[in-house]
Amino acid sequence: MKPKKIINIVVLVAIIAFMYGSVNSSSILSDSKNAYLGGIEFYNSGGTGYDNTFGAAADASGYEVALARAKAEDKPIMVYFWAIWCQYCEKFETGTMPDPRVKSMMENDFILISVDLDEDRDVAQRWGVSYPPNELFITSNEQEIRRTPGYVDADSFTSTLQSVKSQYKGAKN
Amino acid sequence: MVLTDMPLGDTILYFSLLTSVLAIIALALKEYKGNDNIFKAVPTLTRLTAVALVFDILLLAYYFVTSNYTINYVWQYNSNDLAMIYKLAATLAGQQGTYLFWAMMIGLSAWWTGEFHKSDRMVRLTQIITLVVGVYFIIITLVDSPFATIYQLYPDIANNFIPPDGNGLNALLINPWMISHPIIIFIAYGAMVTPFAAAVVFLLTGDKGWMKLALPTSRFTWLFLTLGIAVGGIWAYLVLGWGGFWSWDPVETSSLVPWLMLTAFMHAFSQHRKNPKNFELGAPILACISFVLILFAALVTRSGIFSSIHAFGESPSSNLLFYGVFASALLTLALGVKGYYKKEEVVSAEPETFINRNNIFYATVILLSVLTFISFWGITFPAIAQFLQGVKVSIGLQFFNIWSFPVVILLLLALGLCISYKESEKDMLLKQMLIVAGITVIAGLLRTSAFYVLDHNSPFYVSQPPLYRLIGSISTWALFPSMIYATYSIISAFVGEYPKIKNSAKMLLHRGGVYIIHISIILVLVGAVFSANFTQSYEANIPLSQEGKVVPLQNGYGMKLVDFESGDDATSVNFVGTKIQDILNNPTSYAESVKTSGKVSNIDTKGGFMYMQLTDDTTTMWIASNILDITEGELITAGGTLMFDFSSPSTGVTYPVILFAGEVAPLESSTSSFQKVYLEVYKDNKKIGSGAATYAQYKNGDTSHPMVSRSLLQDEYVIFQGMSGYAVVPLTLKIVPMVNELWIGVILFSLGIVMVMLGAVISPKSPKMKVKNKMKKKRSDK
Repeated sequence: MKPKKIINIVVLVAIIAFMYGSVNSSSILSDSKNAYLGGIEFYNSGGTGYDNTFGAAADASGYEVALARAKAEDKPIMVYFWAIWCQYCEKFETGTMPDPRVKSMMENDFILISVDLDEDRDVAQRWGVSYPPNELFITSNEQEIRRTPGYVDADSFTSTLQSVKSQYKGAKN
Repeated sequence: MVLTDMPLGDTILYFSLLTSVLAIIALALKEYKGNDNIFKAVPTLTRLTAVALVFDILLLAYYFVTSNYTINYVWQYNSNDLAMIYKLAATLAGQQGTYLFWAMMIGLSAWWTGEFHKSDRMVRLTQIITLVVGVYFIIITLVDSPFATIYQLYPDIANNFIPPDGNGLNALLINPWMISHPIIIFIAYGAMVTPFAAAVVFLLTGDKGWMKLALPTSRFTWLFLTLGIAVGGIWAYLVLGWGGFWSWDPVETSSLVPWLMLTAFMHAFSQHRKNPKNFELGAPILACISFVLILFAALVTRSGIFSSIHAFGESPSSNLLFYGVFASALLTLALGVKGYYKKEEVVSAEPETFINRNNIFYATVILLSVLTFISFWGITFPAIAQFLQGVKVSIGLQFFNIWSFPVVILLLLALGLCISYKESEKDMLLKQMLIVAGITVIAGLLRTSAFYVLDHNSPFYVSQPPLYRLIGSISTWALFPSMIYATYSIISAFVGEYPKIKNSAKMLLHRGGVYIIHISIILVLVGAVFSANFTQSYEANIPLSQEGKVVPLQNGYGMKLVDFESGDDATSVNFVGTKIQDILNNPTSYAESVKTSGKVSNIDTKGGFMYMQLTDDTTTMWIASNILDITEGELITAGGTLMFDFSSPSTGVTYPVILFAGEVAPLESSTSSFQKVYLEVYKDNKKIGSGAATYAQYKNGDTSHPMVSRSLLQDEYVIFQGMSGYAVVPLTLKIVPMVNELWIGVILFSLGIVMVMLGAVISPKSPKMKVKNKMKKKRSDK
């Protein structure tokens, strides 16, 4: 019986190490307030419990808080529709979003909302989005500026972001 | 609920529930009180249960084929535009139908156990457990019945309302593989009940008779689970956006988990059958865990806790399913603990050597269990995190590859050592294996661009934790030494054994099957590794004007657009409004106002009116309209009033019934339409493949069927997702290497199981042997 016992112990130790390792190396995609996709922080459309609601109701959803903040800061909103099982979303989040041009524009010039299609189908339905990924640009009054369905690479998404920015400014003036 | 209101299908389900419970009582009375009175009825009761459940699933299929939309489940998944075969396939499109099918499989299992085996204690107890599981599935089916009518579920609906059309199948499910995939998977899921039940009885009673019940059924389950997963893989390979034949999606993975566990069981069981002291606890426990994992797979698919592209959404019965998983897991644990402490008292007479065949088998079983656990944990851990903390975590798509990779290498080494193992050549064989292990380490250190376990070019790689990057930096070449070694071992073992088995068809089938199973796994690995690592992709936009010319791409590839077709799929046009036959049958009741639809023909424009014939799938009638932009062959809806015996001054014809249509509109495309491109693929100006890619729009969305031109070493795979607006055909050409080795491997694997199963049923004395024996006799007679 000895060899088998040795195998058992080795395997048990390995499995515990593996479980510990995998839990530690996993990354959080979203919690009750925010989503963290491609290294960028988004408002979780269905999120609650924000400290600063920018004038929206205290129990406002992430979607509503983002609208209020966009109004306060006078910025356009990017709504990103995704799902955990969606391969093109992963491609978008690991390939397009970390691009320095895309990342800096998204973080500085837009208010970002994430809509997890497994969690919040209402917002998706309201905007007629039926599949991920989908990048929708709106104003704080929920006027649609533009939408980009599907995956796009960093170059073309950079120009999309730029033209949405100028369109938003143009409408103001 | 009043009994008369109950749908026929539910009544039959209740009947099967009754016969199952009666059979359980009769079996239990016989077992614990020695009461034979009702026991005599058991064969009849199990037959009735099986017949009732088979009839019930056929009834459901009948409702689908006849498009009975008063049944909610039929309304949900069926629609008029579906071809007959897809209406039939839609029977298993949702969870209600699959539970009924599952219950039926268990009913058949209980019947099989009693019908084909001498009724001893083992058989009776196995039947009890099988039937208890069966009752559980009948209840799950009843809780959310596939037979529930729309009137039961939506009380607001008027009693005589019959929906004219159903909701329809998701466009992605309208695919030939839809016909086979669900049925094969659920045959496997259902058949697993017998190995489980027999194993539980063995753990309780120690009755060695469990092997004769568990052996054929576990092989049967293994065969169908293999085929079901493979068919799912082929389907996913052919559907865009499903990430190829394998993408570690939770639902996909959840079917692999019981397969891996069952594979571990098959190994343990083969040793257990040789000597019941081997894996005395391990074999039955692995059978139990396999069953628990199959229930778990159903839970992954149905509960909505696991985020998957394959998810069917939450269902009311998922709580019941959760209790089932929990209860069976608890039972397995209890039996395991009980068995463990009982077994400790037995003093083993096993030799205390580290390397012997039994220990290599043990290592194999453990490695397969570890592989099972990796996949299990990979889908379960994110679900736990979400359930307990409300956070969504990503373990990364590469999680499975990274962790499974070293285990697969160890398994291949074990395979190479084990399959040609001889106690007498132990030292030499062990040395061989260690050399291969050494070469494996060296191969793992090779610096090979784009052939690492993790793709270094992906930005994803950089963000990985150090341990992942370490394993991810192993060259994929590390897989090959052990692969070649295992292949060599399998072939040399077969060559060595062949003289001993060649005279017995039974042995030839059995041993040959075992060798084929192992060699085909290597083919599957080769196919998976090469196709996943070396697929190239080329984009092309070919204008229609370039039809017939080879358009050059990179690396010497080229594509030629041979032909382009588009149109409506006339067989599946979904005509709305009143059917023309109904109008003509009873014209006076529609005289004031009627709306119908059809295809326009024989247009005659005179006197400011268009006179034309309208044809739907029933018959033809005349209509007239002052809207003059209708074209020949167009599909329209027309609404207006009927005129009788109308003599037209302009055409000079008297129409017995004619519809004057004030409203005319194109028939909305609830019809399906398609675009099809015929293509040829060239490499260095030589044609290497051809075929057609289709883009089709259905009621519930669109699908594209890629062109796949297969050859032994690579597939040419062309994606066409519909025309862009400028008469340009956008195409993506993928060159997928070695993927057919994967499919060939799966076919061989299944063939191997079938051979082993055949070897088990034919008599040990093959015709060859008989002839020889006769000859010997004759000789001795002389």
